[in-house]
Amino acid sequence: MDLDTMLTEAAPARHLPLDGPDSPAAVRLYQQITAQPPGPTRPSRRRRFAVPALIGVAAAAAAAAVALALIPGSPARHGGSQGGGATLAAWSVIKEQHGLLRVTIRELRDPAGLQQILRAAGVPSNVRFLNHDFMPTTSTHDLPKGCLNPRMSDKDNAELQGRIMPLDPLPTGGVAVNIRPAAIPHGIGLYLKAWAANGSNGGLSLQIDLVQATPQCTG
Amino acid sequence: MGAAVAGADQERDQAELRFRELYRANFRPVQGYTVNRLGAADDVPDVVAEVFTIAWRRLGDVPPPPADRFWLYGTARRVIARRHRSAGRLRNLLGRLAAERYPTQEPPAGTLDPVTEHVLAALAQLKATDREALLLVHWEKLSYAEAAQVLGCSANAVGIRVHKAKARMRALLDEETGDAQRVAVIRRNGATDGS
Repeated sequence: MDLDTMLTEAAPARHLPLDGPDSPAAVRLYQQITAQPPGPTRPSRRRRFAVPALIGVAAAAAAAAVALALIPGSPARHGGSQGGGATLAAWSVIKEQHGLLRVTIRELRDPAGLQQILRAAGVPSNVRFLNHDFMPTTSTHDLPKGCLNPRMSDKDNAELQGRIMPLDPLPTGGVAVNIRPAAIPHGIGLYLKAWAANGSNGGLSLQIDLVQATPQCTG
Repeated sequence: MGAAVAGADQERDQAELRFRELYRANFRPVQGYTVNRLGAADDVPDVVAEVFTIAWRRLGDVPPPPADRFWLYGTARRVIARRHRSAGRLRNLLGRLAAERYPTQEPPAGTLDPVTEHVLAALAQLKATDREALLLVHWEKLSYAEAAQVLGCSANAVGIRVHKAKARMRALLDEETGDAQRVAVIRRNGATDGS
């Protein structure tokens, strides 16, 4: 066997399974990354390699939550459930095609109203708006009192989140999340937590966890 | 005010669409590159995550395809180097690759690949810059010009490094194992190396 062949055969990636971009882990990572505001789209003058803070993607816990970054003040395209005319709503819930709800948050006002609208639309939910910065986490323990994690594996959790909150059509603009109420199994609900992230020019962040749908948690 | 908000929103749209294409086209190659450098180590997902996080935060610095992949490889290389700065650690990682592929102490007959094991051990002894050039060409299948973009040097320099690395590999394999086929036979008989 010549050296070139030996080298080629020795490549570990030839022998280990690789995930595709549509795998649950890859989709989860994509969501976690784009939960943060993007960097400048113009080339920076700085050429040195920048070391960012670790985002800490733990494989086992990665299925715990969906996080999406929202830019405040984005125009409502179809009006809002609050406010009217040209006034931007603090948030909106729009019924789209194919049984999708498009939830958009622009300001951290009236979480109880959003929770009420979502529940009425068939989404067992618990909505909290935090008045302080928060580091997105994949911890399964960071749930409000009365809310419990669903009893399923991380893999099943990730796949179910993918069905409930499809990325296709991609909710572009970072101002919205798609929710498909029909994909929510009996006994499952959503915990939505939004906060204003420091250092992101006032951008909002939203983290969504699957929880057990109980009267104490999701009404 | 409204126009400014709409402009920011449009910019975010463009950034996300571009990143999505970048991610879809390069997720598997970046993962492959990382696996090729770290094996099945636990921190492969973290390295991949860090590489794409850097790309998201520095989207303006990422060149258009196909050079975006070389940019990502270069980023992955630096992320891995920072995480495993010690040369000894890197040698251990490379030397561990074969064991990770065959996780049991006593692999079933016919699954052990001593040739690969010796190739990996020889790779671990190369000078880091020479090894990376060699692996980019043979494992990531890059041309010299493409590897040069990853390494930030000239294509000529890549060619020289690959040449030096292969010469050293041949010397190491001859010196340490003699004929690779003989090693395989010795291993199957249960004797230790050098017996």
